[in-house]
Amino acid sequence: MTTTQYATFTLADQWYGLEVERVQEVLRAQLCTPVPSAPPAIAGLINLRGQVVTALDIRTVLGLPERAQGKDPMNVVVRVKGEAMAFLVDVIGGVIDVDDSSFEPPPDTLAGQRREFIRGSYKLDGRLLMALDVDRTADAQ
Amino acid sequence: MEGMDEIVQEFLVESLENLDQLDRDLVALERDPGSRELLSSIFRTIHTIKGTSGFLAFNKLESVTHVGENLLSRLRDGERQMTPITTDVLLKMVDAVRSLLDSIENTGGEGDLDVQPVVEVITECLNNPDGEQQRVAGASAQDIKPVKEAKPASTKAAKPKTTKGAKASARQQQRQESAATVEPVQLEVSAVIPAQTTAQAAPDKAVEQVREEAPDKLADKQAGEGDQGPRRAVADSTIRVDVDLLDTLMRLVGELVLTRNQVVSYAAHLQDTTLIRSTQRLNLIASELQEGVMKTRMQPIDHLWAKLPRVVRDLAHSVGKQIELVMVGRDTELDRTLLEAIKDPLTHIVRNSCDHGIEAPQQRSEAGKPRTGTLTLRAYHQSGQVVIEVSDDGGGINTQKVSAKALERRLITQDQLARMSERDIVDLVFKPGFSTAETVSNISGRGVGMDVVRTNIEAIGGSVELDSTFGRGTTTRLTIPLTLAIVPALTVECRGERYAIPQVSMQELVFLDDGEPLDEEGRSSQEGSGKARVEYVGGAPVYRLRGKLLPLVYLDEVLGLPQIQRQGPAYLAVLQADDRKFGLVVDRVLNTEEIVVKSLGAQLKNIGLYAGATILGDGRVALILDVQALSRRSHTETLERLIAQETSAEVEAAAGRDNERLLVVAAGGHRVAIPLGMVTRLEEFAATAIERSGGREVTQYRGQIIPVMRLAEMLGSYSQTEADSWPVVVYSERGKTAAVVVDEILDIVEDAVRSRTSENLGAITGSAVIQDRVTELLDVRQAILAADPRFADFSDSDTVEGLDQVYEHEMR
Repeated sequence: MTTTQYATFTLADQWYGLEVERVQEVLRAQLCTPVPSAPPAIAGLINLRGQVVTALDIRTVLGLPERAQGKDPMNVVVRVKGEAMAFLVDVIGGVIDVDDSSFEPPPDTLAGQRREFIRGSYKLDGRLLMALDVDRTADAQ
Repeated sequence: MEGMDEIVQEFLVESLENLDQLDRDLVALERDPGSRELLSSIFRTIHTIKGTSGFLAFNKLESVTHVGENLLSRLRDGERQMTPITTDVLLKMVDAVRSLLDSIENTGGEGDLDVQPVVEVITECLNNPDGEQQRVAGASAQDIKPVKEAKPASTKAAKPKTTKGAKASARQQQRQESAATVEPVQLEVSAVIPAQTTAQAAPDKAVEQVREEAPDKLADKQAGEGDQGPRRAVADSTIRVDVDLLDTLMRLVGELVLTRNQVVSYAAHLQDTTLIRSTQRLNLIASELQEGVMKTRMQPIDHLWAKLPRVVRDLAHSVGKQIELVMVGRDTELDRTLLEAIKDPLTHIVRNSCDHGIEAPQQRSEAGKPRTGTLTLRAYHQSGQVVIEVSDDGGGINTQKVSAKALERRLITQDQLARMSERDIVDLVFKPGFSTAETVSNISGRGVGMDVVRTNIEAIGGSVELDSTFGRGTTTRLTIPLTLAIVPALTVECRGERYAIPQVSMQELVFLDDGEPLDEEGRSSQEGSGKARVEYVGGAPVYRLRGKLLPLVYLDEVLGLPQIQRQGPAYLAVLQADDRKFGLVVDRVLNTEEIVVKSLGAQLKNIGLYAGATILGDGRVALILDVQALSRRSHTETLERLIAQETSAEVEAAAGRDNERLLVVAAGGHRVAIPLGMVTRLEEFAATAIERSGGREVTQYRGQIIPVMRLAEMLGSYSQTEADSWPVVVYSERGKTAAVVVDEILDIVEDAVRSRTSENLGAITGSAVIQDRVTELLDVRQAILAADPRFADFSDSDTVEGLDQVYEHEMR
């Protein structure tokens, strides 16, 4: 039985995860400089210890409703093509081991736009963990 | 060494490095005699030295390496096997080569070293393919002496070791021999300069260590010994450094600069003098470090130019032209990355000049020019930038053909063309689509891929200008920043967010009394209010800057931010992109700071509004505006044409109103009016800041030494006041600046001229009644020229014409 480690988080009360080796670090909400005229999913730029990192709001990418006012997002910093990029999510969960055999393609109920960025899902104790496709998400406009 | 030719220097550095490698290779080869790879590497090294020494006429070196090469080629081709004796002989050859190199390094020539014995040993070895141990060994024993003699100032340290060449190398492993054992050797070695010869012959790498440790003692000893001061050996005075390492250093320095900015901005709020003093030191040190690291990345432009003579020659040859290449300012330095980036554009321009610019000899003599065309490359530093000019004395750009082509390609309309100046037409060659493969042959002008040249140069924050006189030649001028990594920038605010504008494109800042533009009808209602304000021409916002209309771009609009009602004051940053000026309207101007440019991810780069991002003093990220892109995006080009259209009418009206602003000053009892258009800036200089140099008064201003003239003296009188500081009118023209000291600045008046007389007394062009008093009208430029004729050097006739126009219109 092979397992994969996933870093999990929630978005609009749904449970998502991405491969833990893609994660560089997790940060609290950062001051984010908006970028006018940028694709809507780009929340802005953050200062990560002197490095300028693009922050991507995963809610927007997945077509989920906007985060409620006053709720600060968390930053999951991932490595994409050798560069750091921050994914904005609602709440960080733990790192879990998932059994590869429980992997299934994205559920049919997933709407078209979201489907593109979800590699598939893991059925775990009656909960569904949706595996985010990091590279596609990072390329989202 | 100072006078040593650069080629020889490079040859020495390279060869000495290669020799160290060679020692290792030879020893390795002995252990692994069959290795073709090692043999090839050794062969290549010796071959290179041989080739270069032949070229540089170092005959002894050539003869030694020649026989060595012969021996090596047999080994390489498998004609003979590697034996300890062969290794010995080869190492001996390496030693001889090294002695010769040392001699060249220290005396500039091969000296009186006798290499014949070594050559004989090698030849003998060559002639005894079976490697008859006895004979060769015998020979080699005999040869020790001559080899030693071949070294200048041979030493005790060297004496017993020469035969042990092979073993010596084996001992290289034992580098970490204790310093104690090294000590005696060290002293002996230090007694003899050049040390390298000795070091080579000496037993092992411990001596290598000596070379590193010795300098202090060497210096002492030498100082005692007399006038021949120690020279740093070529190989020791330069080191090769991985470019990646330099990049890392550069990045770290960038971070340091940022951190410094943060500390400085934080300390500014505190009263702690100790902290403030420390931050000032930190400030200084960080700046110096930044400068130092930047210098390590600097390379002379000659690296780039070196291959151009060949390009020009080949090209000239293939098209049957005669072209002489002249290069001025070869040692002008700029950042390595930039050098790399301008390589292709520069080659392209040079090719263009040869191909399309300079005419065939026949054609040239018909035009009364010398048959040989001249292509001049010129590089120089100018106000923090590097300017590279490529000029030819060829046929120039035929604007008629260019405009015909542009019309044919539908790049412009007939209507637009009618309003274009010659310069605008020349600039059409930069239009994408102007040049395609088919046009190369059937248009005699330039423009082949010039749009690509411009794009590439702008990508690194530079600009391209084209000056051409039909029949006389063309000059392409590239203006390149010194470095990319750290740039001075102005931070501005727009809708609560901060943006950085690279200072390079900044011309000036203007305060707008009212940020809200007037609508088209509103224009007349506020006429004469004297407020700096926005007007509309053909529906586009413009600002009247010293009598000229400047197209405006609202930053929030161009960034695509939602429209809001504008109110309150605003600022206008007058920016220059390409040859175009425009005003960028922002909410607030914050300050200037050095920023470290960080590149953006691909998604953000594609937006085409930002040149990068940076981290400001408080740790927040700010976007750096791409001025060129803003200019293009905001269609200032079209706007300019509209303005040009309206301006003719405007100018006439304006001329009637005669409402140019005048600066009124007092000097030596005179009242003098200066058109505001000729005033670059008003400053106040401390009296002590004005110094004397070469019989003239000068002062330091923004890193330049500029001439200072006293208006009172120019007018033939004296200042009646003694003051600690003086008001100064600063005048700039094409990067040259001069200061005119006045007694007092009285007022700025508009439309106040009641009557005037025209008399021409040089700089004084007439007098007028301003505010009920007779006031003399001064042409600042003429006045400066009268006092310092050299000021005109390098100044561009265009600018002057421009100023004269303003002035004439003003005087009418």
